[in-house]
Amino acid sequence: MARVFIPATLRDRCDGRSEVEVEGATLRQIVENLDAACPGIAARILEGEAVRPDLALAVNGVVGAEGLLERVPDGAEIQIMPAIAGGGAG
Amino acid sequence: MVTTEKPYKVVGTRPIRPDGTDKVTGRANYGADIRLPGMLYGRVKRSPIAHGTIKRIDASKALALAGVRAVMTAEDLPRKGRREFAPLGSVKISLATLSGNVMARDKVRYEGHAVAAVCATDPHIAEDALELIEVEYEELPPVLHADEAMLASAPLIDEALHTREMATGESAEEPSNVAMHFVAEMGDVEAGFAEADVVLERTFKTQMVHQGYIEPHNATAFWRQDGGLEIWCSTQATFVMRDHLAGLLEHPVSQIRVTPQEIGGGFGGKISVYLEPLAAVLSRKTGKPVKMTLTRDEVFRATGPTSGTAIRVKLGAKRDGTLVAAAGELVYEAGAFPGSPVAAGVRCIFTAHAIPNQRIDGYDVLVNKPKVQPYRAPGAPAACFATDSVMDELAERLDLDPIALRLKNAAVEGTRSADGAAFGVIGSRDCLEAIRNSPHYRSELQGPNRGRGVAHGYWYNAGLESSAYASVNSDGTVALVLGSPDIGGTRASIAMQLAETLGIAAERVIPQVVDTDSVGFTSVTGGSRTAFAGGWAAHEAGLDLRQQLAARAAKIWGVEAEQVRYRDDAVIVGPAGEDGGERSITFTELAAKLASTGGMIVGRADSNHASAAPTFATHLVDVEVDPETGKVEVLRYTAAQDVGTAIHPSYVEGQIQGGVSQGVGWALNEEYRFDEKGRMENASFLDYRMPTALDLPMIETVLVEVPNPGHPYGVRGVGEVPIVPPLAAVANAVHAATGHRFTELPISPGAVLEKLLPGED
Repeated sequence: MARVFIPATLRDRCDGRSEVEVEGATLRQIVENLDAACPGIAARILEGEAVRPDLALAVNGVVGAEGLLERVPDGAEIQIMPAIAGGGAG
Repeated sequence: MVTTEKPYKVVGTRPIRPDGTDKVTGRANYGADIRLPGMLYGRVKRSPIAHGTIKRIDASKALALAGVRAVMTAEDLPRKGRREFAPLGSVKISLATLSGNVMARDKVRYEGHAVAAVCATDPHIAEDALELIEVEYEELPPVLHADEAMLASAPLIDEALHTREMATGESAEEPSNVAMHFVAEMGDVEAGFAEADVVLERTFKTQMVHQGYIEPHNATAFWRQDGGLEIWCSTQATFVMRDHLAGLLEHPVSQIRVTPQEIGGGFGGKISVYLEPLAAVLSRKTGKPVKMTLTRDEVFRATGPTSGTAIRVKLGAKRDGTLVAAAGELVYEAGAFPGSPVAAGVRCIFTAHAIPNQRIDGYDVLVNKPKVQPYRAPGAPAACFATDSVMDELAERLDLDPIALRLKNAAVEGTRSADGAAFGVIGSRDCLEAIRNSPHYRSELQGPNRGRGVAHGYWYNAGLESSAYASVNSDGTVALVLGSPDIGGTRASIAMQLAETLGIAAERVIPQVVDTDSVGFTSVTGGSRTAFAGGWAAHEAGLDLRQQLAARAAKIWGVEAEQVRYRDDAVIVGPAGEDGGERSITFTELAAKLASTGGMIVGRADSNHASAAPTFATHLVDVEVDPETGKVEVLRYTAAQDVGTAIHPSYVEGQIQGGVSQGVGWALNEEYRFDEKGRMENASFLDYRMPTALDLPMIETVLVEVPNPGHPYGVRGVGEVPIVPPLAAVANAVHAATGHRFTELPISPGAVLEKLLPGED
């Protein structure tokens, strides 16, 4: 079971809930199961077969490199956040 | 000053940097040093107006000039769709934005926007040809400030742009200059403020500032007749450059090779393409190599500074200083195309503090100024300026020590930010305590017109993909091949991690930064990721070598590989021989035998670990304000930072000192100044005032080492967070010196005098 934090502007899809618990061993399964709990939310998160270009899914606060194939350990926390980059130090 | 002892032989020492000799003797090759047979020289024709439609471009007179070989415009670039993207680390960049910024197609959106490019046999001829390219514009009113740009009545910079809600992906019906709206919310912010004893709400403004790297952008391209495209350039991101060129030019990625030259500073500003696609098209047209170099004036007007901002912060606290609620509204100028760092500002604005109830809104707003680009911890310094200025006022209001207030509210392991993410092992409190215990904080600041300020900042750091190839040489050295351009001493810090893994001296690892065909994919040198991810790749390549070397020793000794192990002191040991003694061979001895026992050995790693760890910094500064001139002098500056493990402490200290220097410049002097038509008024280092060595004291550093448990050597990125606290720390110090709160940057002499001598000329 993973704990998904729902951004404020998506909570209308989840009956106002800020957190939803769903099953899933990968981010793809998490999104699929989240959509069952919050109908229509997957269409807001995905674009085609991938996460929307301006969005990122984090597992325990960390955005991985495997996209929807990213493994989700039992008890993990999933955050839906903007995709953002860094600058440079030199 | 390093505060901890480490269990390493190489990590934590201070060897001479591998690229040092070439750089101090002037032999290092930068992009401007490139010379190729038959090479042509390109220049860019730029818009003299900030906003207008292009009615006509006529290059016939330029093409008739002796020595001119070709002219290109946006018509020579494929037209890209708004939803076509190219990768940049974990982010995707719109190719329409990249292409539109590289060269204006129908409309110019800022003064300096490229409209055409020309190449000639001589750079002076190319310069003369620019005057002969006729461009007819229909001038439009410019929008120069985000607050004006957000009005429904504002002229539209992009008529097809509709505000997009980040979380839902939904777009507004009416077009707008607001590209994106971000929201982060946690807890019940209204209830939080209701239970607060003190609520402070303030608004802050900062201006566009530039990274100020010494070396201007440059690119040389050669489009060969077989379709191969060679690029030599100054970039932080060779593979990103290759992939973006492939998208912009619709040319196969396999046909493009990018060779990074030495880089004279980037700080985030040398990730994007500018000249490379123009030089490539001109080379394709002429069949010759084409070299292009920007002037300093062009760097200011036509490359990417960071956003000007307007930030409203509201904090609520109990009488004992406990923060109970925070609200923030961040409006960031994106420049002429979408893509300000406001999302990072939203992520960072309150994250250094544990606040249970938060609501943060961020707006990415187009204005007729250069398209902004990343600049060291993009989005975070202005956000910290706002929050930590209010924290300072809160401490004053509650009669609390400013560090005690921050310690009371410091994020710790388990603290959640507004997006729901919880911190792992972090050094936030450690930095605050390091400053509180520092000789500087314990000293008394004496004298008139002097003040002391503190601020506490956060940056999240990135991981992403890096590759490393390590070849053992017969003399016992190791050639290390990397794909990360070295902008801050990363050749040294990555090589040291390989040396540690192999148990050999740092000087025996010889690092080299190579082109995109010569090493595996390596993401951008940025996001404070390179020592973390590059070091991890080098460590894994080292583990690969250890395994192969042990196997080779086993083969030589005629025993099973499982019976042999590579010790941390670089001695390979095996089972007892016929004489009863343990078999052993040193790394160096075995290296000399490789060629005759099966061939040389290469260790490889393509690594991608999602365990980068955030970092914190607490800064303390003393200033003196001249009441007659308004000049602020920095008397003393101490920066404490959670650096994870300091691989090469000298370079970590240098990163901190560099970040502080840039932050002080941002606080006190630097700003883009525009006239009412959007023309930049200070596009030179004479008029754009960056701090020099004469403006700053020696910046004292305290390296607080809280190792990242998600890295074999505990590395956290160190390069970006040091620019986060200086803006607020300096502003708080000036307040302490003058009694006046400065909510707008820069705190220039004129701005100070306006506060000290109101109503006087």
